[in-house]
Amino acid sequence: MAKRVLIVTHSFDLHADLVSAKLKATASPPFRLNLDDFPTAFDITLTFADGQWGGGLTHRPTGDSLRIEEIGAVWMRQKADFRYRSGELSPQEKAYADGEMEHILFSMLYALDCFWMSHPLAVRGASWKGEQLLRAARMGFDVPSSIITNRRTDVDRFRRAVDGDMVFKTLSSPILAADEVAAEDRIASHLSTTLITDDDDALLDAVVELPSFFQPNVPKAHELRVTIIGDRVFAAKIHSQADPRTVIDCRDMSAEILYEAETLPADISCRCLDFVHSYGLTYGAIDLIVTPEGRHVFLENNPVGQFLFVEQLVPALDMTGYTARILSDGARNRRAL
Amino acid sequence: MESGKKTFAFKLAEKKQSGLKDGKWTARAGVAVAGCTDPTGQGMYRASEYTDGRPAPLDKGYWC
Repeated sequence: MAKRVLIVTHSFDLHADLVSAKLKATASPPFRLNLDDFPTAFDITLTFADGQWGGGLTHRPTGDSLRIEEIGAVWMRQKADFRYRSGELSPQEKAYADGEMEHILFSMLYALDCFWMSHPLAVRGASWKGEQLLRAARMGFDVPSSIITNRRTDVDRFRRAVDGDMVFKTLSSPILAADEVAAEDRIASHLSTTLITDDDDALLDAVVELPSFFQPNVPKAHELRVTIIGDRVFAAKIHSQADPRTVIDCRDMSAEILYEAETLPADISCRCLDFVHSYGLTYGAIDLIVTPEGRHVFLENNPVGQFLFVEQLVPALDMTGYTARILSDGARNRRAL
Repeated sequence: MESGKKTFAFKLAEKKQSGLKDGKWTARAGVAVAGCTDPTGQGMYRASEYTDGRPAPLDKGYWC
């Protein structure tokens, strides 16, 4: 039986578009489950008999069908809100329907014995930045001192103790949960990693409302985006100090700073691989700082982070191609249940 | 003037003028912002709605 790749994402996922095109060139064309069209555009029937699940999905517009036993690999890409045929479900019906759909989706996924990139349990376990810092330090990374507190006096003490400036970072949402509220309720769009200066002193009293995360502002020679796919390391050197807009946070893409392929020292490369694999992940996107003294400082790992922007800027890092290959190989090498 | 914002992050965003309600993450020609795709086709790389008004599946930055 030919195994196929199941891609769980949404209909506007460009990563999935590009990897799907490369997968179609192989013997195992992917089946794409766009959650923002699910269940509207899909028929689903799952049956449990003789100790195992059967049945599958059909994408109604194309007629493409996927049987459970055909799934050899799953690429968990992006989440999205489910969509129903009627756009007029009452709030309570909608809440109930969302709960049922989540249960159905994960009942199907968790029952699979296949290659994962990456299993949702591994992703969930790898998602907590505070735990990441501890694990990274234990694995030998240089990790900045950090504080999470709602005590103003502890912020002040931390700030005095750091050798230099201090930055504030959001832990959960750099877009300040703007996507969680209706447009009319939106009062802010985003907050980059921000340098805290004496001028911000009065604002710091507000930490009493919500514990906040601070780190020293680590001096940078440049930054690294290290993307782990399977057993391969794709490292990009980001010249973030070349433009004032990206000195503190390199995510301001209006600054056309140089990205280039980088070969990591062997020990750093191995440590990045080990870090990602330690969670059971087959994918991770690690952000590192390289200091002027050459130290590699761990910032965070994104267990389902984006990689296309790196490939677009450094085409030599063929991550879409390698993702297609590892998914295809993973699917092909699975045995039937 | 009291803005009504209570948390440090929102007060800081307001002060830095990065947290404007209608603010957009800037784009680089041919490159998605931090790899995020644009559900509107109008440069709103983190927009919450499709052009037809449907809620868009946002990555919340978590996916970037």
